[in-house]
Amino acid sequence: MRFLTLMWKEFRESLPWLLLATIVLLAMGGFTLRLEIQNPRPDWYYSGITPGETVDTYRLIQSTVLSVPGAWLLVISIGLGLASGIRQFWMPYFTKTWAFELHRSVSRATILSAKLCTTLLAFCLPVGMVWTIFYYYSCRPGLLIMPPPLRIFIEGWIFIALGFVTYLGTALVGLSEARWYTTKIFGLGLAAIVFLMIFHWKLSWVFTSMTIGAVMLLSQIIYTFHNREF
Amino acid sequence: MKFKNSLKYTAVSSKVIMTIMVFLFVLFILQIITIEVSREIYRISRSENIKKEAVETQKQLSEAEKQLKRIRISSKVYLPDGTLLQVYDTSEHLRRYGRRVNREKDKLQIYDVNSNLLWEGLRKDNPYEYLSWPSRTNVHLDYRRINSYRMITPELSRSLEIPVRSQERTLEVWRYHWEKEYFVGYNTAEGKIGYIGSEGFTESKSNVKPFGTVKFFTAWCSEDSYSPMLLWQTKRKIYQIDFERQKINLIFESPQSDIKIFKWHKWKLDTEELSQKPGLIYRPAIQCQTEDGKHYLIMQEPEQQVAVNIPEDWQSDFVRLTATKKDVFLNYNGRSPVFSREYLTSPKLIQQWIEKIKGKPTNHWVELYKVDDAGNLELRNRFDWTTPPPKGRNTIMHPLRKLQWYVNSTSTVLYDIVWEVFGQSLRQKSRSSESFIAGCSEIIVQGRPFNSVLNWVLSVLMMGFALWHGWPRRTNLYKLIFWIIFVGIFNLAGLLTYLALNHTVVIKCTVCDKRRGLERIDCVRCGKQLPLPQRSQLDLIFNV
Amino acid sequence: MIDTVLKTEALTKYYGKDLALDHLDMSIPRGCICGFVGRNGAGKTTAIKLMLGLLKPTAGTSKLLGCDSRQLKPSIRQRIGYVTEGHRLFRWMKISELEKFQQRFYPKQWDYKLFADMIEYFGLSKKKKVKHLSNGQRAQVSLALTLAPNPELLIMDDPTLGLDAAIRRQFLEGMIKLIMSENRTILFSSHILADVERVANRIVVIDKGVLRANCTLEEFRLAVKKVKVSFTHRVPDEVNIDGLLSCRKSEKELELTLVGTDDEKVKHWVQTVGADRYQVVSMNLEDQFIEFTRPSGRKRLFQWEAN
Repeated sequence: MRFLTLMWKEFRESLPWLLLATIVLLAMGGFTLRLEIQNPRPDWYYSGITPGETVDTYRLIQSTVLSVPGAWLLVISIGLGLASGIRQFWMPYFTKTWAFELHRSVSRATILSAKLCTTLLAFCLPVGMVWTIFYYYSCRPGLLIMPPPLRIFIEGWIFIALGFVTYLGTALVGLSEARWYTTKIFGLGLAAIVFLMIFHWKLSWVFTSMTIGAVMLLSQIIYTFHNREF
Repeated sequence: MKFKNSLKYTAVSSKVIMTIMVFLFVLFILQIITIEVSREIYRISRSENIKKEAVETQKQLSEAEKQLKRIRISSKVYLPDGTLLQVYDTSEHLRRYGRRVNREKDKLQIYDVNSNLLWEGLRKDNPYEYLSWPSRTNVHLDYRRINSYRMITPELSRSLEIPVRSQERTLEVWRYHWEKEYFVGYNTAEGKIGYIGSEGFTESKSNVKPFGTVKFFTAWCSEDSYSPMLLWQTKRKIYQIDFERQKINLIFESPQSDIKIFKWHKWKLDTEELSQKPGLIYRPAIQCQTEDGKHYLIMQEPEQQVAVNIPEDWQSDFVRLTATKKDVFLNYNGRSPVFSREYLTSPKLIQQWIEKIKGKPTNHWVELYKVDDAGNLELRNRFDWTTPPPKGRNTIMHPLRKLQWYVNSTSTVLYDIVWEVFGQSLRQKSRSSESFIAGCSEIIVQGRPFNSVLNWVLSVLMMGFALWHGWPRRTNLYKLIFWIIFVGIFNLAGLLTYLALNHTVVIKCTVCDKRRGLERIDCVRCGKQLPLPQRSQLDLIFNV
Repeated sequence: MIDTVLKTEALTKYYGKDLALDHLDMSIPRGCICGFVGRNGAGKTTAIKLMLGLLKPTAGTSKLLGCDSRQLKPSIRQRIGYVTEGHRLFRWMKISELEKFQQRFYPKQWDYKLFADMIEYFGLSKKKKVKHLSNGQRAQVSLALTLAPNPELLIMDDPTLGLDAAIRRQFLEGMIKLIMSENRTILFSSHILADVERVANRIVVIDKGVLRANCTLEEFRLAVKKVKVSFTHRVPDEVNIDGLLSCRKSEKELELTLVGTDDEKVKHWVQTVGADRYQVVSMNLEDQFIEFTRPSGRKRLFQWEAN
């Protein structure tokens, strides 16, 4: 009950950002998806291929109808990660409510877990559901000659996971006791390194690097939260 | 308790790793900025001098030097009877930004081996038809590019899709499955229609055989079709894939080692072929070079495959093969001595190169061979010339290289260790399509300290500083030793990491008057605790 | 055996090189109402945060209800009420939501009636959000939230900070009501000595991080006194009397602040120096505190202040 109460509190605090992210993703992602579907690429894009000619091989490399919604998903995931991290771990310093928040009849681990679980669910449920809806919609029979491959769906979830890693980086920045001009922002630095690592790398290495990055950030967050002065 | 300890060790080591990674990256960026800014300043300051030198050099050329320059620049071409011609393009004034603007207006001079002028005029009026050789068009995708498209970008990954079309519309689309390495076909009416793998078309997923990792492909449309066909290269095989007819043809399979590169000639891919004059009739051919230096020529009309026996001392990258209706020819461009990039690995080797090679004349030659059905070579013609050593300074180090060595002396010694282990393969990896690998390799290649003494001296000084800094602050001797070694290995980045994570407060001990940290309650020097406050006799302390 | 609910031993805290708390030794018995006083920057909030485990001590230990402050178990925290400095609450919550939130952590001990009575007593509406409350109203809500779980130990960090006199009176009356009804232990820090005087039975004075007084309020009141000594002739140059804290001279008068000097000794000294007469000046707790914590040799703020 206490854990759920803490989660409810975190959820209510993050609700405006969550709503904003979901609405923007639905609106902009949905709009661009609809545009892509209504303008199927194959006919007008391939009309430049003529008999007896060498084909420009770049014409054969195609992005899917989910490419622009995917870009929106990336931006919104990172934005939501930043906003959640700031709301949960930076704002209590400005509002000076850490003391009230921490003096609970629960352990610090419980308080921290509530924050992390709420954010994880916030990424999986609203944002993840919207992405799943987009993918499911674009796979409807008869809509396109070819549905987007399953790989695209997984890549969208990688973007969502990247948003969570950004959240962890922001949380660590908020919790770090170092000065701004020393190592305080290195949490976001690590998240940025993970961000760079996922592009132009094999999928298996992407999962590995994200996992390692998340474990590194999470272990520091837990340790710092338990030992930090408030 | 075990979990708490594990958490502590994981968190602490994560923090150290995270900090050192960020500092290494930032330090590299600063080093690059320093070198690039210096390079620009140097270039601007030198640009005027370089222009002057070039103009003066031009004015001073003698007739013999002009002739040598012409021999060096001109294309060495062969007639089918083995006669060598030198084709000199005089239309430099039509070049703009290094590219030809209008090839129709190119002016040529054609000389024989004795530098006698045989003909002069516009390119389009050239009366000679000399042998042409395989090449690659620009419109292809190699392994590096293919890999970059299959990977995640901010707009997700992309796929390779081959359409089957009529004049009006698209009928089918075949998508390449990156992981499963075969094509999946979809029809506008029926949906999924089947698969194309290494053994051809199949309707059943369980029967399809993967192609293997794709290394290269190019595409063209035959004259009666609006649908592209592919020349598809994997590690050891080259396929021709016709999606409209759902057929594949295995063109070549390398018996021993991986295919390094292949080029084609008259394989109905190049549009420029249509504009060739009638005359020499070529057989469609693909020249294939494997990693072990062997060359194969795959021909059609009729189908034939020849494995060419080239001498071991040849540089196999400079071999070209072509096939007319009558003969198969091989062209080899050689030079001696040959510069190797290995000379760049250390100052000693650069010095060796300057003394033994750079300052000496270079021999060049071109040869034409006839190739029989067994792949044996028969020399038809050879042309030699010698170029003098280049003018200019023979200094061991460009000033910027010196600057780079000074700047890189703050880098970690680990870069040099990785370089010793991986060597030149790091340079290749720095051009990899996997940008993280490429980035890390580039950092090591550009940022390494070149085993310089200054690097070691700086490491030792920084270790000394860390010892001085850490001694009054120590809580654990082993921890201090770890940090000193850490600073020694990682140099400036290590010192910054150490300071960022260990710069705690020191105060003066009231007993021994020396600096002591506050991380432990007793003084690290004299062992005394923190002093008690001075109590006044007027204090009203009546404890319960 | 006296039951100690709060005990610190050599509790020390450095902020960088600055010593904020220096070997604080104190203990608070059960049922005591202890006023924790000191000047600005004396170390009161630091001490409270160390006791509650929100800060890490440089040296020393602190125990609340027998449990080390750095490892306060949830079951111990459940027995401790804490009013934070400035009454910081979640601004987006309504009072009713705050009640529900707080109540979930004290399911068995939450006193609904007490909370409702207090809110009604303070004239607040449960539908109002915290961000729409004034400082005083927020203080009232904070007190109600802290008292409704019936904590064994109540720690309040400057609970009347920023409140006007009327609200402060209301706040204290609320506190007195509750103190009387249950055998609670209360530690509260304050700058307003009148409040301490009204409520506390024990006083702890801290000055520049050092403990200066830890005694009953009565002992403190009796110990610190001011005596005016009048002379017909010149005032003596040296003043040697036990317990002399400070001394102000005028032409024919000496004003002495004494600590722990009984009347007999004063009388004896007056006679020794040949003074005409002496008078014990009445001081309230605030005057006593100011004199007790006045640093010696400090310059006056305004030069025209009377000596």
